[in-house]
Amino acid sequence: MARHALLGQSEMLVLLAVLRLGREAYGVPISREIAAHIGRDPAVAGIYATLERLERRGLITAAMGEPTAARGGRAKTYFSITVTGLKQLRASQEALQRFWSGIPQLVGDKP
Amino acid sequence: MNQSAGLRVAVWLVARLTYGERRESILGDLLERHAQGETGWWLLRQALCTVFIGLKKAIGQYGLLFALALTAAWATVFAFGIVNSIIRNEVGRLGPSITRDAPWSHHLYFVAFLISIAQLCFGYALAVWIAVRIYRPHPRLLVCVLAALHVAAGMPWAIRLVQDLMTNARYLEGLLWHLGLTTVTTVTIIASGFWTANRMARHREGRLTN
Repeated sequence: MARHALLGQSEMLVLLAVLRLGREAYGVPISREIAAHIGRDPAVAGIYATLERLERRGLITAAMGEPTAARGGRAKTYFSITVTGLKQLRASQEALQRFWSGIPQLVGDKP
Repeated sequence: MNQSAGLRVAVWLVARLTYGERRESILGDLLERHAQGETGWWLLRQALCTVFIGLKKAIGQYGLLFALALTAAWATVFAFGIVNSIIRNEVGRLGPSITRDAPWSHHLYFVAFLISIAQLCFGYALAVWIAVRIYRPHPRLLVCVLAALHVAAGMPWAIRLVQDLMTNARYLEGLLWHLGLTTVTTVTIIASGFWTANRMARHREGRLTN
C-alpha cells in the first residue's frame, strides 16, 4: 500500500459526492449531496478548499460551465474525478475496510 | 436579518475580502442557494466562513509577510502612542493655567485636544498604509484583521470601565471617551486601509493596461 493512499474524511466525502453526481458535480449539488448523506450542511468555502486541494494533487479536474442568471451571471465550475483519484479512493476504501473488519464490538446490530 | 440584506452583506464580504480563482464560483453558489430560499443568516454565516478560510490560507501562504506587516503596524502605532501621550500630558499641564489666564483658553484647549486626536488618527493611518504596502497579496483582508485586533486590544479596558461604572457613575465619561476613541481609530484604520488597497489595485490595473 502506498504511504499516502489514505484520504482525509472531507476529501473522501467530496470525491464520493463528485462520483455520485457525475456530470452535474459543481459546488451546490456537491454540498447538497454531502448534506443528504451525513445530515449536516457543510460550508461552501470548506468544500471549495477541499476541491482545490484535490485538484492540486491531481485527483480531480475542473472545467468552467456557462454563466447563468440564477448565479448572478457567474459560471459554474464542474469537477470530475481522474483515474488517479479513483485509485486513491479505492485504496482508501480498502484500507479502511481492512481496519474495520475483525473488531468483535462492531459485529452485529447491538451497541 | 432579511434575505436581501443578508445577501448584500454576504456578497460584499466575499467579493471584497476573499481572493483566488474560485471566488466567483463561491459567489455564484451563494446566489444560487439564495434563489433556492436560504435565509440571510445562512448566507452571512457562509460568507464569514469563506473569509475565515481565506484568511487561514493567506496566512499559511504568506505567513512571514503577514507577521512583518502586523509588526510594522504595531511599531508605528506604538511610536505615535508615545508622542500622543506626551502631547496629552503637556496639554493637561497647560490646561489649568491657560483657563485661568485668558477667556479664549477654552478654545485653545479644544484645539489642542483636536490636534491630539488628529495626530493619533494620522498614526493609525500611517501604520495601516505601511502594513498594506508590505502585505500586498491580500490587502483588504489585512485591514480587517488590523481593525479586529485593534478593537480586541481595547476590549479589556472597556470591560474594566463597564465594571467600574457599576459601582460609580463618574466612570461613564471615561467609558464614552474610550468607546468614542476606539470608534474613530477603527474607522480610520478601515478607511485608510481600503483607500490604500483600492489605490494599489487601480495602480496595478493601470500598469497592466499600459
